[in-house]
Amino acid sequence: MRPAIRYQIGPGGLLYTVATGMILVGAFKTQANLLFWAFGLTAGALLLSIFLSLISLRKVGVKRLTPAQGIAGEPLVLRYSIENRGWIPAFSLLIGEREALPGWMERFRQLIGRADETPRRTAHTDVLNNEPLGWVMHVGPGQTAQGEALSWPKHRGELHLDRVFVSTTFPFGIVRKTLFFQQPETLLVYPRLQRINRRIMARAVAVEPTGRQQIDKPGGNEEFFGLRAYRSGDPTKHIDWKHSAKISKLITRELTLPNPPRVMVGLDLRNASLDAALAVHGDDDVTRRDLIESAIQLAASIVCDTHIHGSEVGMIVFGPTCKSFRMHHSLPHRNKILEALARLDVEKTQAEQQAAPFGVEPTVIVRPGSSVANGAVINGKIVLGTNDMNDLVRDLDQDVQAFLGRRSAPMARRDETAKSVAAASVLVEAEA
Amino acid sequence: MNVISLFRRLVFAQVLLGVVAFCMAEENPGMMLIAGTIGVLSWYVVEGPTGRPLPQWLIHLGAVGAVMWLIMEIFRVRTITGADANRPMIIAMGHFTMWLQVLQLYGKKGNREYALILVLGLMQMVGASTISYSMVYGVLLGAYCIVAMFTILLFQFKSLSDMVLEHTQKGAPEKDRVKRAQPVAGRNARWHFRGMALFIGAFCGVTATVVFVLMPRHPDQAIKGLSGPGTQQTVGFNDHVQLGGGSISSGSDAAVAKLVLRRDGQEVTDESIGLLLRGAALDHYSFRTHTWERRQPSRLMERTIRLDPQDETGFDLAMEVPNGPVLEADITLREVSRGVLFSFFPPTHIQSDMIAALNFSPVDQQMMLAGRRSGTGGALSYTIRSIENSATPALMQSYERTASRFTAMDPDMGSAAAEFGGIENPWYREGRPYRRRRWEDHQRVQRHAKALIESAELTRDYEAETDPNDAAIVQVFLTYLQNPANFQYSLDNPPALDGEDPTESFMFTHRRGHCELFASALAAMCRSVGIESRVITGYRVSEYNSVGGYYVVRQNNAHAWNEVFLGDEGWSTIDPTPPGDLADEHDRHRGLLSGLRDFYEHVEFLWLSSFVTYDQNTRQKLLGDIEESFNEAADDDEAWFGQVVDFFKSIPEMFAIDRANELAISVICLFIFLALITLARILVIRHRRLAALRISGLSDEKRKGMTKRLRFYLLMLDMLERNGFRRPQWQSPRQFAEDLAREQPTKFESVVALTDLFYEIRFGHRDLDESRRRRVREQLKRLEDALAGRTDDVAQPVH
Repeated sequence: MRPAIRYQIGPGGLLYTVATGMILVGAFKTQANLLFWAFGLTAGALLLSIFLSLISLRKVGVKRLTPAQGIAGEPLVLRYSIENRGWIPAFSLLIGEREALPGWMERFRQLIGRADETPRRTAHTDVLNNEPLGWVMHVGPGQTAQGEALSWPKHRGELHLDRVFVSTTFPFGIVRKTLFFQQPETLLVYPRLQRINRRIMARAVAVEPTGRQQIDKPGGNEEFFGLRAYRSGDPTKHIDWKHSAKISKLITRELTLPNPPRVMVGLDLRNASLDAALAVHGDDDVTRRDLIESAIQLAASIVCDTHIHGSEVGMIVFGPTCKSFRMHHSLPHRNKILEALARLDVEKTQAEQQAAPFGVEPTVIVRPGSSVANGAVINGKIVLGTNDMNDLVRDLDQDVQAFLGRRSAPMARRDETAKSVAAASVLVEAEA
Repeated sequence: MNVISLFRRLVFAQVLLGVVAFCMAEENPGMMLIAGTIGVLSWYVVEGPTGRPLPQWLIHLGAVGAVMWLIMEIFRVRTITGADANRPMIIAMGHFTMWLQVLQLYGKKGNREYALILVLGLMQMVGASTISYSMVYGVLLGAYCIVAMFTILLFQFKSLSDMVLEHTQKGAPEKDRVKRAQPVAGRNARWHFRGMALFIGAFCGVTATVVFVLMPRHPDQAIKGLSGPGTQQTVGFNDHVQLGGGSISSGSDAAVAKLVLRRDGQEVTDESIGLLLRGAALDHYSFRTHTWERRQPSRLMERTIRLDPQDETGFDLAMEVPNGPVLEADITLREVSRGVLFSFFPPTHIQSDMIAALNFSPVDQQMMLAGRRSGTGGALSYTIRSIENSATPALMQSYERTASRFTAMDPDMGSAAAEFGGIENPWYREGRPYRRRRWEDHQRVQRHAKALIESAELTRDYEAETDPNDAAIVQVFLTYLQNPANFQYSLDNPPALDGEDPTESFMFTHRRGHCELFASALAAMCRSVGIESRVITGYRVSEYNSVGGYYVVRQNNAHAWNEVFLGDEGWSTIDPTPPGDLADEHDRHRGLLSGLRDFYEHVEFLWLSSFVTYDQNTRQKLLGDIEESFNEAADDDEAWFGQVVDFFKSIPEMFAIDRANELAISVICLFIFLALITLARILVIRHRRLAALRISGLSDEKRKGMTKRLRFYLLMLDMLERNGFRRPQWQSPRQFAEDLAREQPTKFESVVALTDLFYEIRFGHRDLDESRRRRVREQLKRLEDALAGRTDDVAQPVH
């Protein structure tokens, strides 16, 4: 598919043309031959700029290499593969999703009240903090280079990417040639992920009713459960040789199944909860949407953190329409939960969700508003509220720091890294 | 390639080069030293190991200082008017821009500051180009342009890189600090950049040259100040001599003319020749203004001679010329100063294809330019012929008879010729008294002259037209003036006393002075005793450039001497200035490096004659020469180019082709040409296809069969390419298919199937049987539908 092409002469180009004209006037006025030559030089540069803009980027193709997903608040790297099939090297390529308007043009559009009507605005500008913009210095003939553009998603949701552009003003910045490649894609942005306070997580895991780490059932690799006759396919290392020798028959040892800690997260976004939370905030500048997003963020963080610690995790959403997830420990399972939270449309409500769709009650309930009893376990449940978000996601180091009343440099570094550990782990695992 | 570091160095180099170039243009070494040193120090202060930019307020303070400097300079030069008024103003502005740039070097520099430096540099160099034509400046300008080109190219990189970085930083949360990433560059980026820069430089250079050559010049505007626009004070040839007193400068070293001299056809290369290049003949002295000037009768007797441009033999100014050594000179004037044409001795013949008409006065044999082929500015070349040391009355009489040639040549000149021929030569008769008048009123000079004559035991009747003793009397005067005990040659001449004529002051009071005063003194003494005399201004030629093979005339070779009428000998050239002192003043000392200097002079002359003095006239001549050369080459039957042209010219005759057929053949040729291009393109595509099928290693026979069987794969590639999916050459068919299928499995599963078939046939040596044909058809149809979006099951991109 052929890309759309646009040629532009920017203010720099106009200025250059005016300067060239002034040199010509000066040359005619003074009849100074050096000025005639200088005019020839500048005119040559002008002609060359036009000529090069016509022949450059002729066989340049750009392909967006999108990551599996993005995470709100974390850097999103969009990579672009630029292939130069022509015989002219391409220099100083600007790549991105939308061509950034120059500051003066933005101001001019604001001045005439058309800042929002600009056709260049696309859906991704609502999700991203800044438009992805990258720079590639050189792509030789027949070469492929990979440039990247860094951006920060503002919040969860679907990031709709429409067209990729590549432009150059090489050599003198007079004429800008831009190619637009239609490459519609949708990228899912996960909710913002943060590290949950370790004590809260410890409590959440501990609320498992039995508190036992194994199930009294054979088939695992944990403790001794019993003996039975050998069956074909049993691992030889499970054969109890001593008993077998005694009775001259192969006997196999059976081991108990593991019983990892499990957390069922319940995300309560019902109207009643929201109204109550809003009432608490009163005149504060907090919207319903803010509360919902905070709750989703907290739930996603718990899911992710739980997964990191090896626990099985499931999720039930009360209020908006959302699929419920059984408790399970696997990367795809966790990703499915995060995707569901990313896509969660809070406008679509569902009939009252059963409290225990899989026969399992939520052990951690996340809701807008305040936590119950400061995150204590009550009736086998922990109720965490978004009002206490700062306490919930605070790292243990920060508690120490609060205790000491000062902030040392190593602590600050640990703090920063710890906050993004969860997000980083998501990215690493996804890429793996 | 560390773009940022390289860019910073280049900007630094560019500013310093600009400073040097501008100071060279204005010939101000002091400023170069100061500004250059301050500029160089900036690198240590800002970029050194412990360097840091100066605070911004200090830079602003410096800028205020630069503004004050500018105001002071403008205030100082405000009184200068006329043609020279622009120069000091341009210099003032140049200083201002120069200091601003140097100041910026000390400050913290963002892209805006760098852009400011580049723009200021451009302004400075444009200004410098209007005030200097020197070759050194030209070379510096060229170097500046090259550095500026690289700087601008790197500025492109830096500004875009910074823009992306700032844009990214703006969007980053506070906790994330974005650092500048290493620039993404492919293989051989450095060489590609150099190649591109070379191409850009060559393109701009060629365009500049073409524009320079073809750009029409103003026909009525001379190139100003060719002989030294950069000099503060120029002293050279003048068509009048003002004896105001005071010292004079020896003038600039700038060459004003070159000449090739031949005596009786043999080239003269003697350095000690000391020939006098005759310019203006000044026969009237004004006691009021103390000025020697050309009197009105000489001007009135001027006759316009029109030269035929087609006539390569030239024009005889005198019908009969006396016997004697013939001096012929090819003179190239860099500038026609005050319209005066120069000659050695009274001219007898002139030839030039650049002069349309000239005014020649038989009275004083002065030639003035009356018209050029085109325009009036720039260099002028002509060939002049004279008889050495001969200005006899016979030659003067001969000038009279040229009147008949005027009539024959130009009917418009008839009346003037009649007037000229109808009277006797007034110079010879009536003109004589005014060349000695009024000096008889100055008893002091007359008494002194008579005393000198009497001391030599000679007599002279004042009323006599000529006297046999005239030559001896003139020799007495000459000996008296050239005696170091009586007079000293000096450029540092004290001003005349109040109420005293400068000549008398020179003769009786100060007794030292320059050539104009010596010539005035001799003329005064001669005239006071009745000998006709006049002052001549021109140049003394003594410097021979061995590299170029010509004599060089400089501004400081300007000289004044006398012509004295000595009866039958006619007008004799007498130079009263002490020859030793004059030689010391004018002759250049030859040293070890004289050869190198000659070479430099020659190159500079080439620069000036081919570049600086390029004007409308030169332009038309050059274009005419090119056209002529082309025509000559086309007409030369023996040269290959001429044979080719002849062949094409003879085609219509050979085939009896008329106009209509000619047109038809042209169209056919055009089609053939297009067909050849298309064929070439097809061959290129075929080559690519063979490479795509990976069968280039097979024998011709196998290749043909394989191409036929694998055509489906090419069809598939074409379909994909039309939709923007092109297989890179480095990628194998399998990889390509897998990549596509990974992205959109449903859409491109047929690509995988077709690629499997390709491998089966190409490498598995299977035949394209009916079953496979059917599969190929099905898969191609599926692919076509998928690409056209006609299938419902086309999956969305998967990530």
